[in-house]
Amino acid sequence: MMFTAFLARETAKIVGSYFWHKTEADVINGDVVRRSGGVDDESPYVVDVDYSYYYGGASYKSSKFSFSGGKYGSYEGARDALKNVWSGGVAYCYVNPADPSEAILEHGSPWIILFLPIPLVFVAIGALGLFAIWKRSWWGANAASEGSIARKVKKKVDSRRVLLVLGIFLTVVGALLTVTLSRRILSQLSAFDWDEVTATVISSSVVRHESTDDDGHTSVTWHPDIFYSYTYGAVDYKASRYDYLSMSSSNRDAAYKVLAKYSAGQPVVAYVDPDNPEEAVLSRQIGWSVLLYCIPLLVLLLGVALLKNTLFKSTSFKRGDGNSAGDEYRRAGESNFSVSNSPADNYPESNAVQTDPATGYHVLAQKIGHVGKFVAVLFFAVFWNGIVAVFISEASKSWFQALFLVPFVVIGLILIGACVYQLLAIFNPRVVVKVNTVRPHLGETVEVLWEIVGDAKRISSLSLRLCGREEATYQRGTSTMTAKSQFAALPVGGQSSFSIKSGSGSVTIPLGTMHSFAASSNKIIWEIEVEGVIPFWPNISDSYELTVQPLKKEAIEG
Amino acid sequence: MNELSINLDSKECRPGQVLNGRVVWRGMSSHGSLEVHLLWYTEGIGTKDAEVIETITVEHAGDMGERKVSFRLPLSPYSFNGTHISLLWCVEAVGDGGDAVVREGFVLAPDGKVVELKEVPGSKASNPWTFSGVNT
Repeated sequence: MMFTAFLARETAKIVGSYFWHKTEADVINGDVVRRSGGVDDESPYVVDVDYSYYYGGASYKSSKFSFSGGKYGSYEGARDALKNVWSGGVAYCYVNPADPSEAILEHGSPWIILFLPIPLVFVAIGALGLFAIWKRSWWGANAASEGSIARKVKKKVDSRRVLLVLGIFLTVVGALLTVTLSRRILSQLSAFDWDEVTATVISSSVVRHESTDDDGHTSVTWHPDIFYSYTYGAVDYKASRYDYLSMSSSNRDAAYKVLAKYSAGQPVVAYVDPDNPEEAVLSRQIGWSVLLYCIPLLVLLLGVALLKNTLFKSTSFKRGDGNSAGDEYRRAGESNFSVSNSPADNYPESNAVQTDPATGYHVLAQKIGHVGKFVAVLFFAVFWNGIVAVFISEASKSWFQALFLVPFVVIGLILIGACVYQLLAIFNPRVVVKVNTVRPHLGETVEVLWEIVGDAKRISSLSLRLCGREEATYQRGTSTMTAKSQFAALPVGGQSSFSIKSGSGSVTIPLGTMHSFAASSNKIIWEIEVEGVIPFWPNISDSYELTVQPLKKEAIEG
Repeated sequence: MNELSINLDSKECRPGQVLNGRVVWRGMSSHGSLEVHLLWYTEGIGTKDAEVIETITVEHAGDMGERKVSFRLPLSPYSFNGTHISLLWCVEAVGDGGDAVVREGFVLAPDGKVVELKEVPGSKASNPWTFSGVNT
C-alpha cells in the first residue's frame, strides 16, 4: 500500500507537470558532469544546466532539469536526456503556474503510470484475501457449498478468467522485455563492425547497488563504472558504456577485476559506431551471461502457454463424426432446461497428416517428430548448461558452492547425452503408418499399413501394437507429475507373409473397454506404437495417436 | 434443518437414455432457488476434472416441495474405473444458496456396468506379430 501511495504521488507529480505552462528558456550552459559520490552513488552522471525564462512579466532563473534532479546511471543516459530538450538552439521549460519560480526542462516519463497497476495487483490480492476471511467468518464455514461439484466447476471457470488476465500480463511484459533486451544483444553484435580508437579513462570506480526485499533481506550487487573520452573525426566525445550486456552482479571481485584494467589517465581501446560516433563501447565480448537475457523469453512463452490453455481449452475437444452427442441430447423435456457447459464428448484429435489417394488410408503423424524432440532437448540443454556455467564461474573461489553445483552439472551432462541420442535418432529409418480410419469406434477393426522409408536392413525386428493407457496429472509441491498406466496392448496382426520394409495388419478394438477421453488433468489415450530394434543405434520408438470413439448410437440402441 | 434428497429411476444407464428422477426438499429458505445438475467428475491420483452437462433451476423453490426431473444422457464419457482414474456420473442437487448439497450417482455405459480398466504389463514380449530378420 505504501509503495503504491509513493508511486501514485510520483505519477501525479509527473502527470501534473504536463499541465504546466510551456515557456521559451534561454540556456546559459548545459553539460553532463560526473559527481564523485562514492561507491554507493548509483546515479553519478548529472545533467548540469542553468537557464532563464520569463513568466507573468517577471524574469526567473533555474537549474532544475527534472523532478529526479537530472541524475542518471550512465553518461549516455544523461547526454541523451539533455539532447532531447536542448541541442544548442531554442529550449523550452515548463513553469508551475502556482509557483512560477519552479520550472523544469524535462517532464519525466509518463509511462510510469503503466507500472501503477503492478503494486495494485498485490493490494487487490491482499484485499480479496481479507474479504474472503471476513466473509467466511461472518457466514460461517460452508462445508456443503464446498462439496458442490457444480459450484467448483463454476469457480474453475472463474479462476480461468484470472489465469487469462495473468496470461495477458505475462505475454505483454515478456514481449516488451524480450524486445528491449534483444535490442541490446543486437547492439552488442553490431559493435563487431565498429571502428577501433584509442580512448582515455577519465575516472573509474565500482558502484554498489543495495536492495531490500519484503522480508528485510538485503542484497548487494556491483558493477564497474568507467568514464572515458575519445576523439573521432576530429570531434571529442565522452562515454561511460562498457558494453551493452553487462549487468550488476553479486560478484564484487569480478567488478574490481574489470576495474583493474581501466585506471584514470590510462589509454585504452574503444570501439566507436562510425554511423553515430557518440556511441562507443570498451568491450565487444559476448559471454555466457547473455543466456540470462533468455529469461524474458521464458516469461513470454509462459504467458502464451497460459493464454493458449485458457482461451483455446474449450475448443480443443472435437465431436466424434457420425454421433452428435452434444446438440441432440442436451435439451429434453421442459423448456426451462439450461446448458451449463460445453458438450459432453471430450475427444482429442488424432494427428492425421493427409489421405493417401491410392488406398484411401490416412497417413498418421507423430505429435512431435524426431527433429522437434532434438530441438527441444538441445534448447533445454543449452539453457541449463549455460546457467550452470555462469554459477560455476561465480563459485570458482568457494568449494562449498562448487560442491553444491555438482548435481546440476551431472544433470547438464545427462542432457548433453540426451542431445546426442536424439541427434542420432534423427537418422533412423522413418516408419510411415497408414490406417483406414483415424476415429474408429469401440468394437471396430482398424486396418494398418506400414512402410519403412530409409534403410530398412538396419532394423533387426519391428513390432506394432495398439495401446491404451490412462494418464493422470497432479501437483506434487511445485512440480507437475503425470502417472500413466497401460490397460490395453493389442498386437497389430499381419498377413502370413510380410517383411519389415512394408506390410499390413489389423487390430480390433474390444467392446468392453474405454474410448478416448481428454480432460484438463485426466486422459485416456489410444496410440499405435511402433518399436524397431536397430543394433548399436537408438531404437525406433514412435507412437501415433488414434481417437477411439464410444459405441455408435445404433449399436447401443440395438 | 434442511433436508434434500434425490431418487433416480435407474442406477444403470445406457448412453442416450432418458434418466428420470425426483428431487424432494424440506426446511429450505423460502426465497431460495434449487439447482439440479447432471454432471460427471473424476477421482483418483490426478487433479479432479468435472463437467456439468445440464442444469435444471427451480426458482422460488419454497421451504418444501418435490420436483420431477428428466435428463437425456449423452453418448459419453462412460463411467470407468482404472488404476489411476475413475470417472463417475451423478445428479447433484444444490439448495439454500449452497448450504444443502446432495448427490446421487449412477453408471453410464453401454451395458450399464462400470468399465473396468486393469493394468497390463508394459513389456513388448508376447507379440506373435513381431517381425524379425526378413528384409526385402
